[in-house]
Amino acid sequence: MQRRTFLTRMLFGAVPVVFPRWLQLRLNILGLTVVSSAEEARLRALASAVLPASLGPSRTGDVADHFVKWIRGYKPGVDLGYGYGITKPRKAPPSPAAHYPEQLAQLESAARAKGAAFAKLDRSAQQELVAAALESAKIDTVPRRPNGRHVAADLMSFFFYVDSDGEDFLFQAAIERENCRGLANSGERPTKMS
Amino acid sequence: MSDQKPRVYESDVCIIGAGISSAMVAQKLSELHPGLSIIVTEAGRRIFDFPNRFTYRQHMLDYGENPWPGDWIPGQTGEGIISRTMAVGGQALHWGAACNRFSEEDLRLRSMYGTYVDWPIEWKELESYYCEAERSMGVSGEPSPFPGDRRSEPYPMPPMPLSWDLAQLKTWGEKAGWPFQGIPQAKNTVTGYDGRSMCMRCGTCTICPTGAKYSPDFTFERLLAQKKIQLHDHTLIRRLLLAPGKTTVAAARGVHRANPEETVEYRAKTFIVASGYTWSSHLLLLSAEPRFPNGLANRTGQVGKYMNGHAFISSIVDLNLKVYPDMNPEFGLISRQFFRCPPTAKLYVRHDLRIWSSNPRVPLRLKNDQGRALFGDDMADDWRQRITPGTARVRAYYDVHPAQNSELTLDPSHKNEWGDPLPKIGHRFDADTEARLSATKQHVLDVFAKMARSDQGKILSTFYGSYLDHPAGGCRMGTDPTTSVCDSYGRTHDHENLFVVGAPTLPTAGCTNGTLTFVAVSLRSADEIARSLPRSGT
Repeated sequence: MQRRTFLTRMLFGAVPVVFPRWLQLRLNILGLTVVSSAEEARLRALASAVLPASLGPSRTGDVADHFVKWIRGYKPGVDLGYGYGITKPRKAPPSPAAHYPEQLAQLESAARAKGAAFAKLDRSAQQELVAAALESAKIDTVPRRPNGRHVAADLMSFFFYVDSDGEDFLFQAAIERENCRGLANSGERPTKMS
Repeated sequence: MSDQKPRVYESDVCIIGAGISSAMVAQKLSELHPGLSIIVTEAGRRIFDFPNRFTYRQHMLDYGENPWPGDWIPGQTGEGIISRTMAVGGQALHWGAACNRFSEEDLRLRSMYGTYVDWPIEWKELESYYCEAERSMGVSGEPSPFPGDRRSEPYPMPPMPLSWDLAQLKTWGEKAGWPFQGIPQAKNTVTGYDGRSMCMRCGTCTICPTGAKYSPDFTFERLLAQKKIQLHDHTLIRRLLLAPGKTTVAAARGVHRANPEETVEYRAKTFIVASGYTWSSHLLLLSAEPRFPNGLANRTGQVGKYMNGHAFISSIVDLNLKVYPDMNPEFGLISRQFFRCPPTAKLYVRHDLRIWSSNPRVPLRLKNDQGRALFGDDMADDWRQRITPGTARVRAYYDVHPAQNSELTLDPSHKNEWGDPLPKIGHRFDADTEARLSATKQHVLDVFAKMARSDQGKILSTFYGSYLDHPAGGCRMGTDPTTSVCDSYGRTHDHENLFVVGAPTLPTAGCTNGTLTFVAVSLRSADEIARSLPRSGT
């Protein structure tokens, strides 16, 4: 494997690695968002606390994995174009994930203060901690896009708004927004999902 | 501009700008005059990257990234313009491909209603060019039910089937008594039209990953492959130069952006300015010289005047009807009920009427009314209880007419990196439009209210457009040189070998999407340009 390929895979997820904190901070500053293995585990625990339980553990885990992939693929400063009627081109702001490690660490500390790791608490206790964190961050609705104010809100935003599965879940129908669905069946009502 | 000797390119025809009008004119001229040498210049870059469109699409969906990265030029902007797009394909890279026709009334405002002006084109002739435009781009649609909208040819392709949500919304819209139909679109509903795919309902027409939507990059790629044109992208034309002692244009001079120290010069028998509603007037004004101190084609001061577009009002309506969003989000319904207004009506008001499905405007909240935290299933249930079964977005583009001083001017306080003043557009209505504006808006609101009532629905919000959409004008066509820049074919009154084509030539923007009309008048221009050329090409 070429050195460059190996480094790319390390940074973007094919090879699970544990980054020293100093390196992680440095890479985050450079705009390369790094999610360590420990943070991935915390995100999975958070997902099982705030996403619908009816998704089941496997799908919840998938959402967490997709969110990590989304974080890794985020490119600060990339061309966002210009909206119609807006003449000023926009660039992607810094990664919303920049403060996720500390937000996850704060949730973990709060959990430890209750006597267990966040992942080991029961769901209602986890939700209580998340609710307090969101209250403290003055977040009362799920943002339309992850914006970095809090990782829990952004995870919900990712599922319900960015990921088309979230839309299908809300409408309980297989709209499948992200798929190229063809014209043949477009006149049919979307299949109901339980 | 550099005093160095320019790099010179010669051709029979030089087309400045590579948007949709340019593509259509280049294609038609190459068909009518095989062997004609045509050079197309474009300030932006070519983005011929069809194989990667799915990747661009996914980045747009995931991160909101520009699906046409680098389709604009830093610093090349202006006040009041709508789109920054500068690339081969122009704004029609992004377009939704709506291909509505205007109606005869648009061309007969003075003779039918005693307001504004008539176009110097007969409807019957324009209608035949609409058919050609629809064939050229590949339009799918169903005929309008109104006799005044009769067509001389069927649409090239059958209409796009209504998605389930649009079928519900059509039923709703028609309860108010007005017929709705799917918007005609330049999207393939059959496989292979123009060698492109059938629409796969990807819902991201801004970048069509399958190529079912027509965009001019396809035409340019094909013309290049057939060696029918040369395409010089990254080339910003800054001035048109007259032949010494004559009023014909001898050259277009500019800069290759990758090599800004070198001046490039295009010499041709015929020049066609196809630079859209902003940059066409801008180039003519920039080209001022001692014999034309106010700019080329501007002996009577009409360049940049009568900039137009249509005003619009949108509303979000909550419905009792079950509707899912995003089933075919860039497809919608139109009613042409209000395209016509009896000449004896108390109020002149003409507009289109559109319906799309919409996402509910209800956020997911983190606490319920009792202050209990909401997550997961509880949050989703709370949201479901607060939304209505369906939400629709309705919009009307209504006809407004420009004052002469609805204009594009050069703004000496803002210059690009080559020192050229940038454009500034200020839209202004004529006195008749101003006088009826409030009644027009009330009429549109009454229409929306009637629609909402028909389903015991509720208008949630109303948005008044702050700009004129589908902008056009600046090089108005007409028969009188004192009130227009060019004749009905786009030939400028002042320079026999200089044409302006497409959007800039329109006297008005009608009351629906303009692109099909831009293309139709461009194709008509191409016929006249072809007639003016010697049969043998060079």
